[in-house]
Amino acid sequence: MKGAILSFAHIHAFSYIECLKRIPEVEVSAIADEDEDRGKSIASRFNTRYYRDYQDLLKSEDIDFVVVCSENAKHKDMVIASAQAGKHILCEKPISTDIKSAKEMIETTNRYGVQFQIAFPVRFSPIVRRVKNMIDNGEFGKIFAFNCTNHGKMPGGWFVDKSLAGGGAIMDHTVHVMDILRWYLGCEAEYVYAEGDTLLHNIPSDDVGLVSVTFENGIFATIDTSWSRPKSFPIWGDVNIYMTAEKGAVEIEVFNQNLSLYNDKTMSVSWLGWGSNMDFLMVKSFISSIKENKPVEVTGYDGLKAMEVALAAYRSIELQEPVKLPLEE
Amino acid sequence: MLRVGIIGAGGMGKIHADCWSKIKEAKIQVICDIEKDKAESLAKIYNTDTATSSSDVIKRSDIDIVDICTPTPFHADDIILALKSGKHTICEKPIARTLESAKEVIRVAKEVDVKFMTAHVLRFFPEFSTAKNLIDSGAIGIPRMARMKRGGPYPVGKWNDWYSKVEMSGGCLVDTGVHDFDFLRWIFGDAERVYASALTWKNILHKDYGLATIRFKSRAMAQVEITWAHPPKTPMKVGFELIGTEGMLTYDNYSSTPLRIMKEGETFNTFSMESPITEDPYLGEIEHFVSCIKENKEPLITPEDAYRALEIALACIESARTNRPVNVGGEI
Ligand SMILES: NC(=O)c1ccc[n+]([C@@H]2O[C@H](COP(=O)([O-])OP(=O)(O)OC[C@H]3O[C@@H](n4cnc5c(N)ncnc54)[C@H](O)[C@@H]3O)[C@@H](O)[C@H]2O)c1
Repeated sequence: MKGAILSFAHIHAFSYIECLKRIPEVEVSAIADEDEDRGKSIASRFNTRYYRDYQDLLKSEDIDFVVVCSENAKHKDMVIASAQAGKHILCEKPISTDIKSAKEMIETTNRYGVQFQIAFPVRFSPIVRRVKNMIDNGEFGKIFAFNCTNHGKMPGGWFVDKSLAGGGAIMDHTVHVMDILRWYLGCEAEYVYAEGDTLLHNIPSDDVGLVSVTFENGIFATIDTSWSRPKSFPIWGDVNIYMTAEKGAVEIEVFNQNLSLYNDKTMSVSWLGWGSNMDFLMVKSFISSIKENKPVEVTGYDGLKAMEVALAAYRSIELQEPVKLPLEE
Repeated sequence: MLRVGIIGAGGMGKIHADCWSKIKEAKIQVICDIEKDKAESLAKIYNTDTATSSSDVIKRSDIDIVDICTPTPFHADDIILALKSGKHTICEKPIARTLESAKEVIRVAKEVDVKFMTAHVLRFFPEFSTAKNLIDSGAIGIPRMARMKRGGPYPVGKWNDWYSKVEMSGGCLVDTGVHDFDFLRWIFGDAERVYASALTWKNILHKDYGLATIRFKSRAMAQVEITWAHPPKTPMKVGFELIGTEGMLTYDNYSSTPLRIMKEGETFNTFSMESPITEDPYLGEIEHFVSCIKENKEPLITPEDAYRALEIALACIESARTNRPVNVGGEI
């Protein structure tokens, strides 16, 4: 099976290409990147063909699937063109930057009969799955609430440019946790209230966000989406989900399987993960969905519903009141 | 010698009595509880008089200080009576159950010439006061954001199960959250609005839980998690993250445990985590109040501070009830 990476604008592309290389029946044979210097050097490093224009790449008959890692606002065109070219698609999160284009992406991929998966690797974490099984077995009784974080360091670059990212920290960091909560509860968000602002860095987008979600079944949650980890923080960030239920509480810290490295060469401390590689598990699942022609584990619709909460959060900040879902286009 | 009358001989009354007994220049004169046996058993330890009515204590002429440790809805009336009777008064948090009664307390406190303090003990916990000092010294740049968590099992086995009655305790966001709200004001100044979700109004017996978002006038924001929903007998959980423009301060009582004890037992083994310190925060709080009386100083926690913390707490449960953000910071 042959694949291609469309754009390395999102740094996750590097991890995905490494993961794909570990799957014996898969070959990454081409990449496309607007940035010619970056693209050429990546192509030679991974021994692939290079295209400046992804439309040219999509003409290659030998490519079965693509991984879309462009800036959020460019996902739509790439996904639609890839579907039209008959390629299966793994698309970086968030699915896009508005409801209308997300719906178009879902429709087009359906129409052309290609697989379309959104890159939510946290779904594949064995830690997160263990709790999913416990919930499904009813071990906690009735669930009451979730207190969640997806923190990061301020990423800079296009992430702080609203025209490319569709927002800032809230757009970047609402969706992973939202996807897990929807999956855990089998239920959609009904109300979103948010506070967001630019408080920590001198950037044009929001860098802090507190997103409160009430689900249709009354369960409530907050997600702290802030880029609030200091530059000196020993790891990039976190995904933490603290659940409170009738029969107990669970604290999930997805990235808390680390070694601490005290490094005199850089005079810094870092936390280096040894846990399961979720990107690898996710990519493997995508490939087996293609191979066995079975539904992907994380759909375009999942991507849409998670992004909708981020969009509702921005709307709520504007209105200073709770916003009811679903949003209109 | 400062002569003290303690009202309420429950959980907090016992802690306060122990602290007063350690203060050289003070003596517990009388311990009062609506339930006679509670007053008597505590009075026996400290060799004091007993009473069953708070007004009997407050009216006594051989009392200089009234210490109120009764359930929340009884605070305001006794504070007002004590202040008007010319007694220095320390009262457990929250200052009152309603803003109207808290306002009345403030009004009276202004008129009298005695000391009054609401016991927001967090300010005397070294992990919190050290954080405050570090922030004041610029350790994290300008403080902009906070995450706070506090809680544990439901407070059961209390007088009349009063914690489970929202009209009495206010639920976890009011009773327990008020600690963090006061601390956050200490760091960020006055709040502007709050939004919260909670189990408080859902009538689940002996479970309460709340999540609050607070926006401050300085634009800073905070997220607060308060739980009374952990399984019985699990240890209390406390933690914070304070984030500024140039760094972050974090604390977590589950990981900040210099002492872990594993003991073999007859029927079951035990494991405990401890963090012993010589400075008891409750004693520190009472020592501070005594020093304010002796040196005629303004107590660290003003009546307005106590009012503002309560205001945020009540706004939280109002928001949880209505699913609307609630503005705070109105005139007192
Ligand atoms: N600072 C803290 O860390 C902290 C911790 C817990 C409670 N508190 C506060 O302390 C206060 C007391 O809480 P508690 O946990 O000790 O409750 P509790 O139920 O253990 O004790 C209250 C006592 O007051 C007595 N009482 C009730 N009504 C009375 C009345 N009208 N006159 C005299 N006595 C009366 C009861 O018999 C009981 O012994 C509350 O306001 C609570 O919010 C503070």
